[in-house]
Amino acid sequence: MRALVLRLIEEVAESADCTLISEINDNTVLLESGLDSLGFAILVARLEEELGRDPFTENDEVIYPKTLGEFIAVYEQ
Amino acid sequence: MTLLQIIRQHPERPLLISDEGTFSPAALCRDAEKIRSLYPELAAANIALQFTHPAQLLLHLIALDGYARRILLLPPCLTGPAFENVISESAADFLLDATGLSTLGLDRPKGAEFDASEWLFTTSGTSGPPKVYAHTLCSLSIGVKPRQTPYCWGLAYQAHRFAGIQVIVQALISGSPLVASGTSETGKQAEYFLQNGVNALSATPSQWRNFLIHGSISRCSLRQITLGGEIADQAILSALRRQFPKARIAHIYASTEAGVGFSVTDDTAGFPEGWLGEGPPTDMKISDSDTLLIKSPAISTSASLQGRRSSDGYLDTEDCVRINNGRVCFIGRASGVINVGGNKVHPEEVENLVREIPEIQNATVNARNSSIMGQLVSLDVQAGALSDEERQALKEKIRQHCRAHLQNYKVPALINFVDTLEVAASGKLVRKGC
Repeated sequence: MRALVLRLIEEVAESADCTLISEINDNTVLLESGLDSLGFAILVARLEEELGRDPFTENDEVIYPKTLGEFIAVYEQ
Repeated sequence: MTLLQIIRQHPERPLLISDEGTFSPAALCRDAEKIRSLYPELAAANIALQFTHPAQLLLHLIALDGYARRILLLPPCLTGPAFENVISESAADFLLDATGLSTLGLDRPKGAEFDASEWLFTTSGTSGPPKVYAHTLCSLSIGVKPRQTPYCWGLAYQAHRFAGIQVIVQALISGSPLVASGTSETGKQAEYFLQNGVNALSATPSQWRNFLIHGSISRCSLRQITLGGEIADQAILSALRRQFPKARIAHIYASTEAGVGFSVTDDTAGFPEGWLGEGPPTDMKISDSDTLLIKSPAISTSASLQGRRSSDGYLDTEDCVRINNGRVCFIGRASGVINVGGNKVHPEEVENLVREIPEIQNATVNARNSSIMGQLVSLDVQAGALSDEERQALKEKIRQHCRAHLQNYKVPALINFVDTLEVAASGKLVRKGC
């Protein structure tokens, strides 16, 4: 999952013309990673294409992750 | 004059060529008379016609114009509550279809004499139930000259539709042959047009793109090309000009509600900025929200349009426009925009830009639901057979082209390659989620 997310972050950054910060790890705050909110939306849509699910529409109580680690955790649930 | 009276005056040569047979004016008149004598109860009645094959619909239309009071042209596949609605709205007493005549159970007293038959059309009903609007042969043939033209018209639209009837009326009044096959499949239609010498064709830009992709249309010696029903972008106008250097190419803007239309024949998308103002062709201006306003004495007074009429008599067409290099260009419908985090995107603007790329055969922009931004722009492209590497390269090219011309929220977030794009029976491109 982590590898997929990281690969798609790079792909989305390239396609959305965002420059990623040099080192991205679990503590990286998503919106400080270089992806803007549109890029983040595209990442979620691309993940849905790959995994067939969008965890942000599955629950009534959506928890929006702040860091990359939290983001991956949402998908691993 | 009725259709029958007009056709009777034409010289003997094939007037209707179809896979149900070839008909001369005399043969059409004979068959029409036969239909009249078969159904005396239809005199001055309100009748609904529902035929799949265009030739059948045409024969009955010729027979009933000036004979029945009201002729409702039903889509072949209309059934259920939508069918019932339209029948009751049009007060049809009878239904005539391939199985024959049936009474709709309403025993209405016949009214007084009537001047001309009303032809009733249904709207496509993409938003809400279909509605009925009326014309007469006279109102449909404004601007059609009764003299013979060198044209042989192909019928690319379904015959019961307003756009189809316009082609039919054009051919029948001018006495030009009309070629109508029962198929709506692009390839088969094009082959049929080719076999039967079609040199004049009216279709939507989406249909034209499919004709060009299919290829066989290029062997038709087209002299008259008409585009209507959707925005004609520069890419399709230029592609048609390259393919048919000598043809007259006209793209039509028509507002059914305003009862006006005009055609543009200078091979350029949009229309000249100088046409704004009092006209000609018609009195137009641009609203504060960038939609085209049209003033016309013919504006329908229907209640549903009340909110779209200004105090000084203009109707808001809800077609969004933008002035660009002295041209007023259409960018899409005010409804049907994609909302990306509060920013509005007209699908047509993105599609037209993507179609500028030579490798792209056709493109559709759909709204893709997003749990983060509400909606995202999703692009389906048709580009023929490509390897994975070629697809990746083309994706990148599309993105670069879009980024160079569009704000970032309009750039397609997702790009998919598809074999075909869906075109509705109306000839218009089908967009999902918009």
